Amino acid sequence: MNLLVSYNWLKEFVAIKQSPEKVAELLSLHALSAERLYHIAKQMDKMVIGKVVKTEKHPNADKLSLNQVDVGGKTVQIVCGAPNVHAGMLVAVALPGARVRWHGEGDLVTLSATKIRGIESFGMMCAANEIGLEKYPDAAKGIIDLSWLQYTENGSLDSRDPFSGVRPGMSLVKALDMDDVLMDVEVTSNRPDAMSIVGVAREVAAVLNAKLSLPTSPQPSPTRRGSKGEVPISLSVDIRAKKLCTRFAAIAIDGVKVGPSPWWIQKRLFMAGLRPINNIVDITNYVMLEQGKPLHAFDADKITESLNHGITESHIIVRTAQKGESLKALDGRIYPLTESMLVVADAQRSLAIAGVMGGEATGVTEKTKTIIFESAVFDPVSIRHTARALNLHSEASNLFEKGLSDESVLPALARAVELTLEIAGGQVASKLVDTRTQKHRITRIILKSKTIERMLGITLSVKDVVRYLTALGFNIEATSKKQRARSWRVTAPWWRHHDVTIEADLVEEIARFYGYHHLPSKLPDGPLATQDATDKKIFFWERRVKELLRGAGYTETMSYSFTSEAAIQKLGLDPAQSIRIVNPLTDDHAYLRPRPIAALLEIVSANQNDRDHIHIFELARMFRPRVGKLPDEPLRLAGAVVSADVFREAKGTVELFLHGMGIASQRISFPEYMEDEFAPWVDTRRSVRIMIDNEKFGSVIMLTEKARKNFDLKQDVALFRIRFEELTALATTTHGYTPLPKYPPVLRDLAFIVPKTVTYAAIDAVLRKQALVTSVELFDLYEGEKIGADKKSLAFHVTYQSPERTLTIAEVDVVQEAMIKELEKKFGAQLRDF
Amino acid sequence: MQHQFEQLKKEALVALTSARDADALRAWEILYLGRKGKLAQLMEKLGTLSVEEKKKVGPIANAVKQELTQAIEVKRTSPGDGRSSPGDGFDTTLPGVRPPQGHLHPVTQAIQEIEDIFSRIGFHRARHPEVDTDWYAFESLNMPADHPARDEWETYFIESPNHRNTESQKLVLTPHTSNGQVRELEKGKLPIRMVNISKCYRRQSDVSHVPMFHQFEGVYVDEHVTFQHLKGVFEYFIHEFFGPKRTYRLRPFHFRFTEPSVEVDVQCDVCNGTGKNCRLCKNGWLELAGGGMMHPNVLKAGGVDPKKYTAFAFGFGVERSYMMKSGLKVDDIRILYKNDLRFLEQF
Repeated sequence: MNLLVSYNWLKEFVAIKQSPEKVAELLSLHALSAERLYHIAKQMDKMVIGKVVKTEKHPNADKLSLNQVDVGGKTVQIVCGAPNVHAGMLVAVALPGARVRWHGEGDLVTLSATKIRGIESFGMMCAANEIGLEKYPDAAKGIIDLSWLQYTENGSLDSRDPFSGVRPGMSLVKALDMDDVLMDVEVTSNRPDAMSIVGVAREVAAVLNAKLSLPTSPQPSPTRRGSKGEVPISLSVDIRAKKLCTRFAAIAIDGVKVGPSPWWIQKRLFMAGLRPINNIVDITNYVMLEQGKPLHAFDADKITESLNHGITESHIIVRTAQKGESLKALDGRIYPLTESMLVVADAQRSLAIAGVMGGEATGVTEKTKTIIFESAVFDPVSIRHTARALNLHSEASNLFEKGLSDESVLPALARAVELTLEIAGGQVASKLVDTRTQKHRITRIILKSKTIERMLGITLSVKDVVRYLTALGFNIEATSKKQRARSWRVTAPWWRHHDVTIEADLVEEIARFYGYHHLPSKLPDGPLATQDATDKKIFFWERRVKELLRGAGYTETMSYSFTSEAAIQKLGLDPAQSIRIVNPLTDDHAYLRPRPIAALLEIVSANQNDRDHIHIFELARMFRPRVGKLPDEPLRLAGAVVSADVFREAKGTVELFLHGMGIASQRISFPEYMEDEFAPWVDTRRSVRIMIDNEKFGSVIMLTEKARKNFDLKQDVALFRIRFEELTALATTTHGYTPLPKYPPVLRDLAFIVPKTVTYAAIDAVLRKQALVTSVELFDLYEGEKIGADKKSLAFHVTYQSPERTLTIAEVDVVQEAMIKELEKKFGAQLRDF
Repeated sequence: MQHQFEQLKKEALVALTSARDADALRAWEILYLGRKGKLAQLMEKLGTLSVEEKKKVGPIANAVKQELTQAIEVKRTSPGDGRSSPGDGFDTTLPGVRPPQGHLHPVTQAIQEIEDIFSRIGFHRARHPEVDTDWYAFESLNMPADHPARDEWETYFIESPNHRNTESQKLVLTPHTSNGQVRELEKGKLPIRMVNISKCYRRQSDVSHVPMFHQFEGVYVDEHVTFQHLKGVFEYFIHEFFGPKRTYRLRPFHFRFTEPSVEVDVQCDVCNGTGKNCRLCKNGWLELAGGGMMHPNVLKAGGVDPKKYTAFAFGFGVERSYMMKSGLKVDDIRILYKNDLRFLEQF
């Protein structure tokens, strides 16, 4: 929650000597974050009151007017696009050099004299939202009409209205009496008490060690009585939902004159971002800003009353809504209420959604003569539920749902009555009704000096502890009369009852008051902790493998964990078997992804127009439902390849990182998919499983034609994916080695033409099983018309070597001869000349 | 005569030092050692000498010849010479032929650096679920159902086939890494120095928010942990990650699961902490992280006795920290997860 705090208002309550900047700094270090400062005089620099002397149509544009404006001592020409300009009007003129927010949007723009459609214009006449008064009536419609400033020219009714002597050329900030600094203060959710000028003033006074003088209003009592001394309005309150309303106070005032508020009230509402309505409603908002306590005003004549011997009886009931009940609120919308929602009602109907918004029917209007003020405290959870269920969040509900003190009720009500009598006239026409449903309980917290030391590592003097807490309004007394007592009984002030409940809360108050910037810093110095062995392995290999793939030319991608129903279906999977998000932002993010494949294919698809080579990988958790447990979150390493020879590159990448993880190639195999395996998007004939020690770890995948189309892929894509956690369990940094051969090898290159149906593996097996052959390496694969359409040519480097002696050409020839014969016999292989 | 040979030798050796390429060496050879070269011409004159003089000068002439022949041989085999000639079309301005080059995602690069910084002070990474129960994400962190503090997280709720959705078993996508706090405590192995770097999820997507992002959460539990340790670790991390000159401040704040709680601000590097006309920061400061002393209720929820142990916990945003460090100013943070390769290949 943020509150715009007027520095001038604050100064009415606290004797501040420091600059707004210094106050903001100290407040941020010790209490509440004052995030930004707005100097209104700076914002309104070079803005003055202007008086329109003459207005005529712009010669070159239908919608523009050409105006002669008196800006004090001289008349300037200003082109304007607003329809509401008329001669004699007082306007806000931004002269060249002023900074305005065009149409209330975007960044500030510095004005300069310019030509608009060929006519010179010296500045602009501003709309309310262009000079920072967004909540001014019709702030965006036309320029702001300040003609009303003239009405008080001959002396104001209210001494706080400053407008005597307003004349063209006067600076706008002075004319509006807005030379103030606004502090944008962030109030944390535990401190609704500080969501007010009084609340901030308490903190500022404590932090600056300055005198605090808060407004105290007299306890209201009836000022009008009948001939026999009777109170004209008999007000009663019946709280039926006792748990949901802990205190309800009300009072009636009759003879009020409803109209616009004086400027000093309107101004403060504007500066806080609130919209003035009429003086009574504005008073409730003003008091809410001042004290952080929401109030409500009813038009008493709209409440069902009965007349009894000349006394009007108004009976207010606080209850939960009845089934089927609904209420038209002040925002003009009808809200259907449920039986858990709290309402303020009369004998016949509900009048207001308690703590959230009043009803339109009993709202205060210009015609209202008698009002009833309500000041109550409602259950925070109930208010929160209601506001959420109705999607109706008001300033009031935001405060109530944070938890307000029962003790806030009367000061606010008294202040509202005081202001009403001063501003709207009238007389108090009822007794003050004040109903509680529970006794006011005071919690005492025991604070030990030892705890402060234990949490903060510092020892504070008794004097300091007492001083800090007292400054913040706490009551503190030693638990024993001994001089050096090191524990205290502490009571929080009423406005902190909700948020200070345990000893640690008091330590926080002391710590912030002492100042975190004064605490020393220390690095952890105790015994070391050990890392979980599995976690350690996974994090180690995660980094290694990522670096390895990066080194191999792969780019790491990172996709959202979300996926869409469509993407799941594109893979031929059933969305019902996936984990669904109850409240997704968009349909694209309606599920958690069960597999990494769709995201990779989407990335390939999105990037394929730029390039013909793509090497990407991702290492991320997938999400799969499990019975009776949290979802499984397996880590998957997966990648996609687009290049000339996609399948072999994908397979080779798998070989590369498995080697990098210390898994010997003899343990790895790439068998074909089984016919009955479920993998609808996989072209199983062109894809293989990755097996280690005969256990499935992943696969190298080519897509079915249909899957390729589903993802709009223009080129062949091969994918690899592998179960990563399980893989790290096998991975090792320890390597054995084979002694290097002592005798030279004989190297031979051989090429064979075989039918296309013969696999590489079949030929490789024949080559490798020969005596003396120690290595076989395919270095060329050729298919083409030259050798026949059903044929392929495979060329190998074959290494012959013996660990015992240098081989002779003759013995190598013998082996090679036998090898060639076997290949001819088995596969009809032809030896090819180079 | 003898003198003439000595002169010639000197002259030739000097000339040889300035012959820097093959062509120049060849020219030198022709000039001094060629059939009609200077040495040959001088030797012809030997015939005009008397026998005695011949006997005296002859060996000298031969020695000079031998010396010059050797000199050019040495010159020819020395590595500093025999350079290629200009004008042979060798173009050094051609672009380099690079071996395949991959790229790690910027967030991964940030995580690796953060992991290293914490591992140097004995904080190890741990892994905790990204989909977790309401209990670990909120309730155990001192945020009972319906607590307004929960509103600060725009939480995603999850419906998983076969999962029973009782109140505290309700599934959420973790909106912060703090679900790891009670999970780590429950392991029952003390002391704890953990850093949990993980994905988090919140229902927000605009130019400065992504629905999936990363946080890192530090937890230190031991018998003597005070706020000073927390401050020390903040300071250490800020100086390691942002540089020793970066100033920071701790500001009182409120979290349900820590008490006392603070937020950490670092000085804005765009306006140098002045806050003047700066759109990025607040009065010269940038919010970086939050933390505090672990609330006794959280310790209890994790089965750790708050009378015996104290602890701190803190959380940072990875993307935010990274962008503040690198001065990377992206118009729209969502570009990080768009996976446009033209973007990723710049890292």
